[in-house]
Amino acid sequence: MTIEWWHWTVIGIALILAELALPSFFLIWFGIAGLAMALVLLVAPALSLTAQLATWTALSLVMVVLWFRVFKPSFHKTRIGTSAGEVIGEVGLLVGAVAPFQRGKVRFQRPLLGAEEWVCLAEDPIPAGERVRVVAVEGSFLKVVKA
Amino acid sequence: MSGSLVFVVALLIFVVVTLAKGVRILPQGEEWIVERLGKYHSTLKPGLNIIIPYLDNVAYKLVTKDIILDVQEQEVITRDNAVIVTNAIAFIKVTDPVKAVYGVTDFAEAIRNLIMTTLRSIVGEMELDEALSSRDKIKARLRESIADEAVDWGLTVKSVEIQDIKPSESMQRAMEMQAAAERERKAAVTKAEGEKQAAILEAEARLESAKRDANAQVMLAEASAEAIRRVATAIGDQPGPMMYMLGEKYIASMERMGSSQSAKLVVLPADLQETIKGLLARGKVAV
Repeated sequence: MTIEWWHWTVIGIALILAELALPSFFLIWFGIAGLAMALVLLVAPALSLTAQLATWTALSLVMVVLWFRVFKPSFHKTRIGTSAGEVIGEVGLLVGAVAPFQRGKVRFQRPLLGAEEWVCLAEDPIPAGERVRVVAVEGSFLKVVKA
Repeated sequence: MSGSLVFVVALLIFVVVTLAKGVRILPQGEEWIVERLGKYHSTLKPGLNIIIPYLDNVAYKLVTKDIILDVQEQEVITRDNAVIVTNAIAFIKVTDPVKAVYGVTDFAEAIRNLIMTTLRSIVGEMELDEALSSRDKIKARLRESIADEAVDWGLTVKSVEIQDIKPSESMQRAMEMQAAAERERKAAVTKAEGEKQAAILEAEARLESAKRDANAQVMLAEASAEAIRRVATAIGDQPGPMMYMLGEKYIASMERMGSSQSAKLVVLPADLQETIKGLLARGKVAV
């Protein structure tokens, strides 16, 4: 049996549809590569089955690489629901002076993580009354720097 | 089937499996810990992530939403040896997944046990009544004293709430019995006081009535004396009217005796006049 260009089209569409059913985000590349293979067969119908499969594999890898080059999936738009996410960057008012080895107190306009007032830590001494920015959450303490 | 075809099919399977294992999509609200060859390597954030399937291994999957921890009911003994039953609920959040995974075997169980023991020690320093009425104080101290461990375990304790704080069943029974006994005591005292009051009043009444009786007797005697005196004055030396009066009364009483149902035998003195004279002889002498 010889494989025609439309066989590849059907395989490609089936794989892309399967991606919808199984949200695993890798089948779609094989599907798109399958559609591309159909185009390749239209241009060069004499390719052997081995060559077709090899081309398909190569095309799939190229698609994945292209995706990561173009879209950079490591970029995070939102911090909602992440571990230290939402609190980092909030600006509050220091009501108790903080220094290394001395815990201070910081107050926020709206409650953060269930409390308005937090015990805070800092690398440098900051006098009370300054505006500070949260850089990390450490258990029930916040790490702050001068805003 | 040619050898090259087998090779290409094997290559295809390899690529498919590698991509399937290497591409990881994390839902928002979860973070995964990846170990490379058994050691901590990285934390995967929500979204699309790539790992190397043969070296990397997703060791732990953590939920970074707030976790509701139900701290089970436990019996606590207060400083005055009363048994109370408390339970609590805590809301915690993983803020450092690495510490939460590598700092303690099961952070939820650890925090739950920590809350239980801390609650016990806080309530153990309080008197029963104080423990029952100062929830806020207990809450604040609870949060304070688990803060240090929370840092170590990469957790933030958002809030700890005391759900129930009530005396144990036997304690409740004892308290009810105490209250009932107290009321019974009051009732008995009130009753006794009433009886005492009544006895006093009765005695006073008797005293008062005796006094009045005595007065009345004295007054009666005085009145009789006065009457006799007046009669004596009125009679003077004349025995006639007196005889007449006496005779009349004597006959009247004879009549009553005669008409009485019981006594039919009436002995009458024959000489009525002399009899009365004899009766009055002493009076005559006095007059």
